[in-house]
Amino acid sequence: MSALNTDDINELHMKLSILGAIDVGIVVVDRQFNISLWNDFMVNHSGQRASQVRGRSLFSVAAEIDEAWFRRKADRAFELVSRAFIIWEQRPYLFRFPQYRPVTGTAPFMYQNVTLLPLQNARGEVERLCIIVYDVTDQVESRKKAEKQEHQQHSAALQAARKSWKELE
Amino acid sequence: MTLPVLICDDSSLARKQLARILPADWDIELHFAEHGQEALELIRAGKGALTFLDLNMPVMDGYETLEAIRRDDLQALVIVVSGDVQPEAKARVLKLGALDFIRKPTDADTVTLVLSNFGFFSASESREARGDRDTDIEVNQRDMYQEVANVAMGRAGELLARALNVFVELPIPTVNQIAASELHMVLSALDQAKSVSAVTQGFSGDGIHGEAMVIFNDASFRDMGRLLGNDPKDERYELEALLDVSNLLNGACLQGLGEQLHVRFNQAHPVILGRQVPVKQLLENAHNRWEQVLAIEIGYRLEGFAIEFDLLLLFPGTSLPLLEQQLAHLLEDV
Repeated sequence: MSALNTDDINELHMKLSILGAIDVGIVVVDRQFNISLWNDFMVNHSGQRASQVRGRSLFSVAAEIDEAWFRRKADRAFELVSRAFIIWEQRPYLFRFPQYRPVTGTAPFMYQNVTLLPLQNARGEVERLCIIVYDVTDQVESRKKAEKQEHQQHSAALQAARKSWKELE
Repeated sequence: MTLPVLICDDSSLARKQLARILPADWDIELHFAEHGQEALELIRAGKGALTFLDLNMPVMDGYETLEAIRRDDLQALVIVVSGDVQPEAKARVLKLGALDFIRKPTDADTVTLVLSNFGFFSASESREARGDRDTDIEVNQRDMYQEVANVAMGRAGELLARALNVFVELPIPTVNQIAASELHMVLSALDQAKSVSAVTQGFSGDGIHGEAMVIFNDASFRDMGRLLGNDPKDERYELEALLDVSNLLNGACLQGLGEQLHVRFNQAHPVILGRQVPVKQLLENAHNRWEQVLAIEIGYRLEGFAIEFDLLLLFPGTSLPLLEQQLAHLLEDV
């Protein structure tokens, strides 16, 4: 392999900075579910440094993951080279993180949508899986708020109807 | 001696594409049929000594045609050309006497290789520029969409068949231009369903936007979850099955579509449209219910199971000019 020149190093440096700053969780695991990449988002929300988790099993680092369930999803993504989406309605989170706004937020934890992306190597073989974690707490909170309001309006209307029915009687 | 060759496919695009990639200096007389029944008539008249046969067709499909050829001992050697790329589909047609199976979309090199393998054509003969075979087949827009969807649907069916270890019965995709609020009227697999669940997933690529929607007959969930190996005690059992299937179908279908259009699609996360609701209710909250959309509807069934679901590919009117521009290339670069 030829040595990297300055431009290549700058390019690599730029990409690593973006990977660090992006506000989305990125984890890469191999077929045995051992972690090889754990980006800054994951470090900051879990409190575990990349050096602490690298090489360790995903299921020992994040004991909250339902292993049988997650393996089924991940194995299928590996086997069929097919990306998979997991939404918060299925499981509210994959990694149990505190919510992003600790003071004004109302959710007990960070709601997450997750993408499983099989990664092909140069020979086209899939040896690794990228787990992408999106924080969707705001979206869930506003949805729950709207549902609550709808429910309140509905019961207020119901009460009014009952009242007028009683008056008729 | 001039060989009578027959191309049987319900899609005008597929007939034209195949006719154009046959070796130009191959001494043949070319005939066309739009379904199996027409093909059988032409074969009986001696016009299909070699027949290229599609599988998914109205009136009489490819399997039935192969059976009839064998039963009546007709003079036709058959090469199947199909978008149904399940290994089981290939095994079935070979068992019914087909010589070979060519995957759609195909190209000149593949067809020439198959022809020379069976001694119909010698590749060493001088090969001049192909594409001059005179065909006056008119390809309309709907046929283009239908054939592209046909190939994409076949990919999705194959992935599903591998994931579930079943045979997927592939229909003929239907293409309609309708208002968003009328979508419930085109769901062929679900017209009897009382209660359905659905997810929709936005996608975009090269300025083309659309949604891929998977709609499930709620009566299908128990069987489906079992095929997927999901935990039956899970309270989100039907949701898991719905998402698993939509992941498989949408991913493979968009990849198949993208390869033909030379577009790489990004997918957003799926969104639940409704759980256990009547079909009509699914689109009640659509932002613009009266906007015209191009809807490609594919009704899947799994052989041997009471499992039915629909895949809908929806493109808003604003995406159609770009989509049609990409489709036009399909006719040029074969």
